[in-house]
Amino acid sequence: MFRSRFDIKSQPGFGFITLFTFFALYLPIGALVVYSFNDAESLSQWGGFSGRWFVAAWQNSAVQDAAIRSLIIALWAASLATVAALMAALATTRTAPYRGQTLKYAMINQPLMVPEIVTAVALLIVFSRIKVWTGYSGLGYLVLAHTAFCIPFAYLPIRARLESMDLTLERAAADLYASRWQTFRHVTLPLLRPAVIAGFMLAFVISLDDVVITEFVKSGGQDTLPTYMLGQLRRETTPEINAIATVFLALSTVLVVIFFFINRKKQ
Amino acid sequence: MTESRTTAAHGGAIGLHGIKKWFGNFQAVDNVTLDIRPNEFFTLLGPSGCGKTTLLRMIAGFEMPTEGQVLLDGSDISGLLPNQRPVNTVFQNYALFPHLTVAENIGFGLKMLGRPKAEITSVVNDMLKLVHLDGRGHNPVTQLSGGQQQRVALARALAPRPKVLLLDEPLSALDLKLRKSMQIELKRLQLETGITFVFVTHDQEEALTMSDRIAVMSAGTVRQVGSPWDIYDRPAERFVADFIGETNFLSADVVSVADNRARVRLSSGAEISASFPADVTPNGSVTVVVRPEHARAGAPTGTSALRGVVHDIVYLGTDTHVHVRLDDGTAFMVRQQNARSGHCGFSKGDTVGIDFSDDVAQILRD
Amino acid sequence: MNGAEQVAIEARKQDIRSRWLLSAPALVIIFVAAIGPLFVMLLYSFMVKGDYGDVKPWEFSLDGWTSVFFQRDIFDDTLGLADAHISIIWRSIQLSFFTTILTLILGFPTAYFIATRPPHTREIWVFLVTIPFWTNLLIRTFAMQQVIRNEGLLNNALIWLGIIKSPLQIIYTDTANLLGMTYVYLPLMVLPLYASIEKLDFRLVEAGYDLYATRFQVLRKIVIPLVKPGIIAGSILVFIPSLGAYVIPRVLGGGKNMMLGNLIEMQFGAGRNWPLGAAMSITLMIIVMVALIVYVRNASRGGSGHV
Repeated sequence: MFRSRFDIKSQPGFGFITLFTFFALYLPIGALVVYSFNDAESLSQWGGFSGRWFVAAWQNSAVQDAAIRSLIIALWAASLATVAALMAALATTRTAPYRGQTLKYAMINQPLMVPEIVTAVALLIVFSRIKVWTGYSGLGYLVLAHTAFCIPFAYLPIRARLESMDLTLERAAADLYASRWQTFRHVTLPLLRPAVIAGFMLAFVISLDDVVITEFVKSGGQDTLPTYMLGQLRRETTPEINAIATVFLALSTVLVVIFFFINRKKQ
Repeated sequence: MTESRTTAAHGGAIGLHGIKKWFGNFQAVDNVTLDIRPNEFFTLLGPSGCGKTTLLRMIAGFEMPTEGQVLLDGSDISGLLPNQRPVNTVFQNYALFPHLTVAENIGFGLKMLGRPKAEITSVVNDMLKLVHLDGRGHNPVTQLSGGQQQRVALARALAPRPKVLLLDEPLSALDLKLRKSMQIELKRLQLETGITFVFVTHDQEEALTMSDRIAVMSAGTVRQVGSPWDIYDRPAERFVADFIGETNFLSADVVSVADNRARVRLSSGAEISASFPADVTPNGSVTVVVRPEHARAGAPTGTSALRGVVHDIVYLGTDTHVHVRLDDGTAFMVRQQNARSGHCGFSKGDTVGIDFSDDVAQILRD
Repeated sequence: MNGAEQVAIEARKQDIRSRWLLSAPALVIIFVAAIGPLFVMLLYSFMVKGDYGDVKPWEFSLDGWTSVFFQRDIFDDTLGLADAHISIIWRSIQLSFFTTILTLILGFPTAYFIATRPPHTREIWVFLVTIPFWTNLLIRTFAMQQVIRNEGLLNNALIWLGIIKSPLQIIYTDTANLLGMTYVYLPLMVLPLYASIEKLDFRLVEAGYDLYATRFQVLRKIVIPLVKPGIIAGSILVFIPSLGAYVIPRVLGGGKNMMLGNLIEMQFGAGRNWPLGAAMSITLMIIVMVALIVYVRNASRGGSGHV
């Protein structure tokens, strides 16, 4: 009789807990998606398979407006945040420590350390006053607030890539007569591209997903898709909201898949 | 090709004058003065941490000397940035740009210099031929073997026709066979292009094989500069003798000095003739070195320079090392070439006499 | 000092200057839209509340701060403890603590299991954790709501199985808050844990078995001490957002089971007491900071004995 090989890595029960975890992670999302195809008026019963709530959501002008607004804000915020984060990452990596560097790190990561609700009410206080003073109450406030909390997310992958990047490549460029700008343009930036794209996508999704800060900063009639949904949840909900959520879900899944492949190619 | 040979026929001369380099409290280079001649293959040889790479980086412009000057053909380049120096480097791990093709890598320097496209293309093609990579121009560099990457790195550094080519342990990542063939290749490229090569290595054999002259470094200082023959056969001091090859140290007393030779008496009482470094006048008790292959072991006779007992015999294929304990207790090794197959003729415990020719012993500076 | 040295020092100075310029946009944006407002809020917490929200500018008072923990009796004007506030703050801390524990109990075995798969399958598992992580928090909260509602999936399933007769009241309780937060923040625990377990050198585990350790001892004495940084990172990543949770208690907890986040929001809405809201926000920040410091200190002290 031979005993089967002793697997040093296994621990009893861990496989079972893992299966439970994944079941628990996916069951609610799965149910949400399934019910978006529910023909019934309410979520309480199953009225057969139908795509009508997707059509209803598509034709709902409030949803359309909110979706477009969400995309505009996310595109602006993610673009600005990525540029700012790229510059900041170049400024804070690959150097002997200098005075103020720690302060920079702390500032850049600050939005991650403070609970969102705190930042949200602080912004409410400041922006409500500025809105009165300037009379301007457009999307700029939302874009600015989103850019600020997107910066640490865009910064993360870019900084990581820069720190693992071989300094000798840039040295080689300098040795081959490239000026600082040429080195950046022809060597650093191309090598950073996957990280910059990853940072942009991360920032984009973070902006798209935000509820709390948007809820407190927005002026009247500036609902984004998440705040619109939050407002709807107060009422008796129909599967229309599931349909919106399902589309949203599909969008973030596509982004994860792209993100995943970019990261894989890098390795 | 002809054109490139004629323009590059004059490699630059590098002058290092009183170079000191501190990193915080650590002194990496201590007052180095060296003159590297045009068109020569010059090697900085030493153990890791001896400052040889720092010296190379100061010639390239990646480090600034704390004190001293770096001269190129007589003019001070200490204050110039790397991209302002007509000097190119072959990096230890090649540092090829992974996002560019072979041809784009080779043409990078010329592109940065703003040369016309046609010129870049023709130089790149010449370079590809020079390093035997014809037709591989469009390959991504990441798909090349180690040896091929090495050739691309060389071509890339040679393409802008620098006055001096710096090589930072470029062969250390290759396996033994490839390393041997690249040594010959490098020497050929240096002769063909006429560019001054400054080569950094910790591998003595590499240094001896390729160099016109070698500077042996230790702890931030240059210990000896000379031809491979000088360095190997006429080491000036203990560190050099010990670092390069294997050697035997014998204590001796100076009997007389005449011309450039000295008579010294060994502990066995035998007197031999020895050479000595030019800047030394030997007297009193000195240390003499003899290379193991310059000594012969045999049956002891009355005229043997040394006598001892065999305590170990190590067979190495090409050679046999006979380890002898001399009468005064010193360890001594004799290297015998295995000219014939079979046993070397000694056994452990045998008493042997050791002889060597008169011109092989060298007195060390204290 | 010679010319080259001068050049080096000058180059370094210029490098630092350009580094400040490069980081300026990010720093300015974060200052204007994140850090600066916190200081303004601190100022607001010391002002007199306005009659219709906002504050009376430059009229100072400590009322905002005292009302965080105390309330003035309507009849005799004495100060008593503000029980409602204190119980909500305490509930927030408790719920966040239990959420961290629950995510750790589920997350550690999961991360360990994933990290010990062959590299190729490992990627797929990580990918599967990443999808919910990237899914909108509101959507996940909403999905949870649909599961635990009275007519939701869970109750229907239990009734269908005959385990219960009438629906369990889960939604609008603290249990709902706890379940929701555990569900939503679980990926935040799994991912950093996975990252540190993946780096674990399993030769050390082999050495442990070689030296007669049991499976549990190997886990307890080798694996857990070595992946402590991951446990700390995961716990912080779960604890901080839990403490400031706003959406989850609003959707799942209902009006009675508020957390600190909802209490703060109330002061800016119906409560019309901005100084109090500001003081509470700063209190929340202080709790987070204290928790962070205590946790990191404890963890590093505990860890030093092993590593």
